[in-house]
Amino acid sequence: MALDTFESAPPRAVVHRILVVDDNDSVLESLTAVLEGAGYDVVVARDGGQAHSAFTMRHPDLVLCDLKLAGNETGFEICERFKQANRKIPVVMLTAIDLPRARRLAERVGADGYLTKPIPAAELLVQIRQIADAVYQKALAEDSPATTPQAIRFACRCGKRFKVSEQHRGKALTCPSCGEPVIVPRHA
Amino acid sequence: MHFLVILTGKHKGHRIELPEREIWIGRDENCLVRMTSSEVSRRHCSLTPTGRGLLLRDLNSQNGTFVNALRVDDEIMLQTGDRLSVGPVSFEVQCPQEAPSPGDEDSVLNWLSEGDSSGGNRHTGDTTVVRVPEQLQAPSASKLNSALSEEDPAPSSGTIPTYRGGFQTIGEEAADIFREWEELLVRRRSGG
Repeated sequence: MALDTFESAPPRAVVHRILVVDDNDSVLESLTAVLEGAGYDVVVARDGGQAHSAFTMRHPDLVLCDLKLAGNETGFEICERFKQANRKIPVVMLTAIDLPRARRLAERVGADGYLTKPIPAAELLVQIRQIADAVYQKALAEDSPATTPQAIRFACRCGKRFKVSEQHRGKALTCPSCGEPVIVPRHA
Repeated sequence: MHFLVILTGKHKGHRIELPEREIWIGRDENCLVRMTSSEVSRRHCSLTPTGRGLLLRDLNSQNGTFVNALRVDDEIMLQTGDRLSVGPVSFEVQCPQEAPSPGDEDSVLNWLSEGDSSGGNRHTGDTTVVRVPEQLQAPSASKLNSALSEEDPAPSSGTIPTYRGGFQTIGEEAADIFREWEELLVRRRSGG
């Protein structure tokens, strides 16, 4: 009975360390206070460079990233690179920008969540938990041997259509029809 | 008209048409031929078309600019057939054989254009020459990130192959979103 109960419980993500990327000190302070108060270990980054270093060196379990940052890189680009490096780490955009096209772009670059500021602390913590669990369960399903790799379809500029395995995302190939280089789309 | 033919990497064989003015090669956004490799300096070298060839200047690059495997200390005049190496990418120089026609920055920048491309390509032997419609706007040079990052599995920031809405990079689209958001905020403030 106890075993049945254990097996039926959905798997939950382990989130210990959260990387917060924001160029506003007061936002960083308040987010740090909220997250540390909830028991998370918080690493902060103020721009793309710091974010990439922290992502590589500190191995966060989840990333909260503002969209508009100091420096050359936006949150969209940071998210794209993080998801390319490790798509199992949830990246959540946390921004004041509430525009449908911003949400769409965030989705395209692989963001797992899009939250708008200001957000109540309790709501933020609930969202972090839910998003982390969803990403974890999705990753588990993808890693399952029963799962067949998904094929992605795209077309060359000349019209030649391709269907390749998802694992080839971001790779380049030469179109046999026109000889031009074609890059397998990184995003759906 | 001077050309650089890419000799290495996934864009091997592409012919870059150079405008009749000084251009830079490097990682900087202002470089006409932009690469993402860390072996390339922000402004690595410059090329200036002259009547006697293509004048190459090394801009104190950290890892050096090489012509026919020899490092260039300061500047050198390149001729047809010279092999120019910048970081991981090598080019063959082609100088004009006949009366030059005016150069166009678009033609260099647009040859990898993913979105709008119909038909301007023609093949000349092993070389692909891309003719770009004149009405195309000069995009950010950053689109060449992926073009010239030779076999570099590291993702190139801001470049995605599926360009949408006329944007060439994520950065461009993001900037437009930020602009729209700022305008919306201004309208909200002014409208009470």
